[in-house]
Amino acid sequence: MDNSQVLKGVLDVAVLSVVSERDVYGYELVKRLRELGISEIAEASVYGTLRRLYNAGEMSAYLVASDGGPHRKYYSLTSQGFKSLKVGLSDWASFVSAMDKVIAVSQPKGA
Amino acid sequence: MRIQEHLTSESESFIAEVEAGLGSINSADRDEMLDELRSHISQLLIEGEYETIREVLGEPKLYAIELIKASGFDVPAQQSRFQRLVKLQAGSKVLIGSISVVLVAALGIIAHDYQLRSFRQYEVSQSVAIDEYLVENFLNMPVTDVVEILTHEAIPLCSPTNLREGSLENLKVVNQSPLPGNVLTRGGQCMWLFVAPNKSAVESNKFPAPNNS
Repeated sequence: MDNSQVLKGVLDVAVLSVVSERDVYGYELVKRLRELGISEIAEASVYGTLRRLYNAGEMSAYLVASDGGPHRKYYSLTSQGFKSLKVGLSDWASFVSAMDKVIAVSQPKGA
Repeated sequence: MRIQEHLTSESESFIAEVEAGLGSINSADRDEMLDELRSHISQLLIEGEYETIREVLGEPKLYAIELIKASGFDVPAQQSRFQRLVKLQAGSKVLIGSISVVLVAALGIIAHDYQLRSFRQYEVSQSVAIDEYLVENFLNMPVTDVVEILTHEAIPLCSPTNLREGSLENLKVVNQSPLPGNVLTRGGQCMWLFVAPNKSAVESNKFPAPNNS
């Protein structure tokens, strides 16, 4: 099943969740999302989501020098970001609950 | 710059093409997007578990479009149409052999005589990207009127005597990425650009003859 369209709809919540664990930079975020099972998401989608959330005030950012590599731009959640995450998680839980009911109704008899 | 030291020529080219694709974005956001892209590519290069940047990040023009969309900016209409053109063109990657063979392969079930008769071949004497710029300005054709745009392998030498329909001497070059699977000119070589219109374009005489002026 192609999950890419579903993932796009919940990518904000996924990104906010990961960043709420600890501050991350873009490359790290992409890897973390994939480690958690969101393997089909494109890098551009993740970076675009970060930019949008940053511009919306959901995140703040700061640069950190890296040995042997380029500076890394770390993102952290703002208080507004934490509020959005809370709302997003609540919405997601409601959606999953509703889908569970729909799926239960549509189960073929004998399955 | 430290970041630049990590970049290969391929990644520089990739970044340049993404930058071109981000032309509609304000400079502050664009610069930060590109800085992050450089940083990301540097990490990829350090890990080195791939052959090319495109293998990981895809086509730079599509990367730019997705980045713009995900960032919440409006994708310029021209780029949106480019995406349709990519889909339009997705089935034809290689042009081999005669024009009729190519047309049959590329046009599939709709390879009728009217398309064969209307087929045009153009010489492109500079490195170009096959995109809607060419379709709308070079060929003076709306994207929606095109069935396929096919390209031939670059050949070492082109001369007017090679032309079947005429050449366009004042072709403007756009610095944008090629469509996946196309072979474009390299190092001043020439290429052939093959274009086939759809039926309605043919019937309404929208398919222009090459400009010989």
